[in-house]
Amino acid sequence: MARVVMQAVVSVDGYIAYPDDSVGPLFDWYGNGDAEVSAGASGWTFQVSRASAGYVQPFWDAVKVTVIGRHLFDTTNGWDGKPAAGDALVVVTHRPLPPDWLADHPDAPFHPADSVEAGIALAKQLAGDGLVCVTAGDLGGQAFSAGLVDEVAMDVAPVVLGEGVRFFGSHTGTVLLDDPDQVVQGDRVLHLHYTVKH
Amino acid sequence: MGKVVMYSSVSVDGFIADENDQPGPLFDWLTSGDVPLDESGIVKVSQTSYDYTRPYWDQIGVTIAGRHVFDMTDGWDGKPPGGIDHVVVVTHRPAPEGWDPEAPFHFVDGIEAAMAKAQQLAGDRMVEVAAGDVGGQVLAAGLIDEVRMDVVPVVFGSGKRYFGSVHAQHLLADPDVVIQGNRVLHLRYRVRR
Repeated sequence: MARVVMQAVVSVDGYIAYPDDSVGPLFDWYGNGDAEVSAGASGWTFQVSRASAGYVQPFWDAVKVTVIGRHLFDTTNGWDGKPAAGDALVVVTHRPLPPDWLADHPDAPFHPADSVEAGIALAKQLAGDGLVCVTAGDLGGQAFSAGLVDEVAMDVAPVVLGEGVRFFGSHTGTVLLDDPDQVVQGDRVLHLHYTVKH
Repeated sequence: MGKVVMYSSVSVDGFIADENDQPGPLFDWLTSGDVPLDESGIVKVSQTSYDYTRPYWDQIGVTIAGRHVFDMTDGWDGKPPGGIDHVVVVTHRPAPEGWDPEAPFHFVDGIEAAMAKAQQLAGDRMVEVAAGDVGGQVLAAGLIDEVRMDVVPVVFGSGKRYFGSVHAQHLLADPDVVIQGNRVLHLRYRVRR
């Protein structure tokens, strides 16, 4: 059975981006080291600290399917048809994917789903017993509220943003986590990994 | 001048209490251990948390708190929490009627005046500022040296924010303390200026 992790880089006050989707200094750690990590199918590589590489590479390798929302799909041109991590990608959207994009990326392993529940179910089916990564924010928050998230991975950057897009989206209500089973300090980031108490 | 530290227990999503001012599980780590943190015997923590928290408490000369928390706790019955010498209360209103004028509480209007009073009382000892609305104002004013977050593994989703109404970016240094206790992760950040 696949596990579902909710992940993002986050400020100490819980934001994953500014209101205009810019990330300020949140991503500084993706380029400030001498250890290379690569994100599978996308071919993206990043130069991070050795400590971060030791945490991030196994995490990305474990991800089989990523679940994103339509907003992220649209703002990244559907990652040009390549999942940022994993072999397949599920886009939660109420609208069909753009015909032009589909024509340009006929082989993209992208699967639309019309609800968070359907998207997570499809992703788990595709992932086998691997890891499903759902992006934090509105989509991740909905999955979290619905009890569909097993693990929470927060890459905490040492900055206060003061406003922005919340890691847990519009989730409300108290949910207990276990103590973090991974606490890894990189350079301009603290990697925390929690399991949700069910 | 003493170092100025912003402090609270906080959820992983940045809240120090829920909408009704209830801390919920945020204080579990302060009651679930076997090492008494003070003479009251109420506060008991793990040895790991004791080794980090007790020296911190010993350094605090003055705590600055808002009127809201003061009222909620009935002014801690006139005795500063954690055995601290003085509390400076940021408030536009005078002390409550019947308040003991000898109690080591100081009612000051505005954060600049509160900080001046606290520094005067603390000498070269540490000034602690309660996170939340008052802490956020002090951070925004550039008066915080260090941010201490005792991060509890719980999501609140809504409530009272650790950084209050801060609306601008503030860079911190990487944490120089990362200590895992039981139901708490102790983090300490210096504020970059």
